[in-house]
Amino acid sequence: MASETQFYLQFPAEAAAHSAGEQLRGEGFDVQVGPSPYGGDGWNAVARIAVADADLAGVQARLTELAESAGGGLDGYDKLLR
Amino acid sequence: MRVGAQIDVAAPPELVWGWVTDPARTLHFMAGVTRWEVVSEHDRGLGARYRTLMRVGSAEVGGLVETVEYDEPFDIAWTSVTGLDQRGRWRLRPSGPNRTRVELRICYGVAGAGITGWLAEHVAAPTVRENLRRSLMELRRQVEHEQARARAAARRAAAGRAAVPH
Repeated sequence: MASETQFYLQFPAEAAAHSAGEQLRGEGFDVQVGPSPYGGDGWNAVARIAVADADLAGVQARLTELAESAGGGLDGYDKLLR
Repeated sequence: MRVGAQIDVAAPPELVWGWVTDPARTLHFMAGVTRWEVVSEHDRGLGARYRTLMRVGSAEVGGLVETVEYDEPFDIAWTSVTGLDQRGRWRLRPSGPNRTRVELRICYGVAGAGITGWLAEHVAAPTVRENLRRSLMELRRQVEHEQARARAAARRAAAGRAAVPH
C-alpha cells in the first residue's frame, strides 16, 4: 500500500532548490521550497508523494541523483503509515 | 496512527546507539517528549521501563513503556504497558564508512477510545510527523557535534604528547 511520504532535499542555493522543485512538480510531486528549517544552512525542498514500500528505494535514488546534480543532497524522509 | 522517519548521520552506529539508548539524553533530542523517567532497576536494556509524557498540541499524553527488543547497536523497540497505546522502534544501519542510517518509527493510538480517539490521533498526525523530523535532526546535530569534539580532543592530546621532550 502506498504511504504519503515527504522527502527532504537540501541545496546550497535558492535557485537550485527552485529549479529542482519545478522539475519534481513535473514528475507529480507536491513540492514546497524554502530556507532550511531549524537554523540550517542553504535551501530546502520538501517533495511529497504517495510511495509504496517496494518503490521507496527507487524514489530515494532518483531524488538523491537530482539533488546531488545540483550540489545538494537528499536529507531523509518521513511517512505516514496507515 | 503509524509514522516513520529516516535520516543519515555522519557517525558510526555504536555512537548513535549510545545516544538513543541513554534515557538521560532522550529529552535533549526528542521533540515533544517532556518526560522519559526510568522506573526500572536498570536504566536501559531489555525490560527497562520508562514513564513518558509527550506534548500533542495543548495536551500532554503518556504512560509507562517497556523495552521489548534490544539488539545492540542496531535495533531497540518499546511498547506501552499502561496509558497511551504506543509502540516505537529505533533502527540503525551502517550506510557507509562512519555513517549510519537512522530510522524512527512510532505507532500510537488510544485503545478503545472510539471516534474521539480516532479524531484525536488524526488531528495530531502532522504534529507527530514534525516532531519525528525535528527529533532526528537534533539527534544528528548532537551526535555529530560530540564526534567532532572527541576528535578535536584526540588531536589536542596527540599534539601534547608530541610536544613533550623525551
